[in-house]
Amino acid sequence: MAAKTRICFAHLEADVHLDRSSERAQRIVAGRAAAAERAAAAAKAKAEAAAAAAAAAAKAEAAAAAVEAAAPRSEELDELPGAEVEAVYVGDVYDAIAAHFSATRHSGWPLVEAHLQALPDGAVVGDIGCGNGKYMACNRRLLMVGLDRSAGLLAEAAAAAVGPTQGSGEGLVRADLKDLPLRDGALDHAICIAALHHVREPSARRAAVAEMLRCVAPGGTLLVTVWAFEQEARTFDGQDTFVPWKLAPRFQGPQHADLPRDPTGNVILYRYYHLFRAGELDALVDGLDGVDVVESRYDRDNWYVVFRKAPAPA
Amino acid sequence: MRLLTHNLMTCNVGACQTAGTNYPLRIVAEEMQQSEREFSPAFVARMLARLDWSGITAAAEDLSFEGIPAEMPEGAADDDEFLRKLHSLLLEMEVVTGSLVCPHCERKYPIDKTIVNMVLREDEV
Repeated sequence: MAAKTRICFAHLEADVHLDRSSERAQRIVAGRAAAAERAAAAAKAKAEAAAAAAAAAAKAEAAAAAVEAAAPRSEELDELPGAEVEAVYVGDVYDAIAAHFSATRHSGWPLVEAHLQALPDGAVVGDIGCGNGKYMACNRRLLMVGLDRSAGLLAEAAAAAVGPTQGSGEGLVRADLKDLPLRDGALDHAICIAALHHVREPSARRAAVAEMLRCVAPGGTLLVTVWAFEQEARTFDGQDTFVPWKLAPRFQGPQHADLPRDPTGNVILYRYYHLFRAGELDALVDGLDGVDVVESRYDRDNWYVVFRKAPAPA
Repeated sequence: MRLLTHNLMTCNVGACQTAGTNYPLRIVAEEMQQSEREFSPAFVARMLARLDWSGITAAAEDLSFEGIPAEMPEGAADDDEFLRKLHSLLLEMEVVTGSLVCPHCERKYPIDKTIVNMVLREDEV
């Protein structure tokens, strides 16, 4: 009985031992299984992430390629008439980006503001290519008339005129700077800020300056600024180029639905620019009688020239 | 568009420019607004040099604005009452909606939300 009991005990002990070892084994097996599962999950996640990244990269690449494919080629400039380049790559683009452009163009250029501040009280001043009208209320003692080709930008200028510190001046006129609907000598002075560089043909740029000066009275000045080819941070392949505007999603409308987007969802629109070399702007009045360059300088990637029409003979 | 601007503007159609009959543009006002503005006689007197008188009388007639003489009076620059009248017509009245019409070719230039559209079609330039 005692032996049996012992055997039984031994059996029990063995059972206990077995139980214990199987428990451990189970734990080990379970642990291994879990680890394997974790490893598999990690590998799967990694593979998925890699696939997602690859897909994203492929998508971004495709988007970039689509954007690239949609970009105008500089050869187009030689194929299209100047007026069409200006309509498609200047007028239409500014209409499309007007709200976004205007939101980024609050503050005036100090040199231009100083120039306007120095003009005599009560002078009639034309802002030719006035854009969103940021210079219209810069000096309230001037009578400002703003002209621009873009209806979109003029609407921004009119909207900005609401409020005590803003003003639409004496009028906002939609007109092309090459064809100004103004009497000869109607203006005491004129400014043309960052607009002449959107005129395509060299002869048209020359004619545009003559046209602006036609509207300035004898003794009056015309300040013109344009983008310089010689810029501090940027280089360009040539003087005639397309400059992209990244139209942020919040400024996009139904008309942009079919256009390619970059990976962050911007629609890229291209503006035509002629980048002026040193002396090129000054030379536009060569051969014009009674016009002098009274100031010529380079400032912040721009050429800045003040022309003066000779006073009427006494 | 305030009426000072009107005084500066011409029709852009090539033939009208050649004929010299592109001024003054007739004003067809559908909606006007008037905003009071600080009057400075010196300021308005300074402006006289830029004004064309036939354009002033034509604008006054189109808008039935009374008290504008057919000729610029002698000593206009020192005549405060006259200058105030001119100030009111040229700097305070604004055409919100309407059009400008060429006296020669009858081309209509629409005015919408105070902005006048003078851009011509290719074949009109």
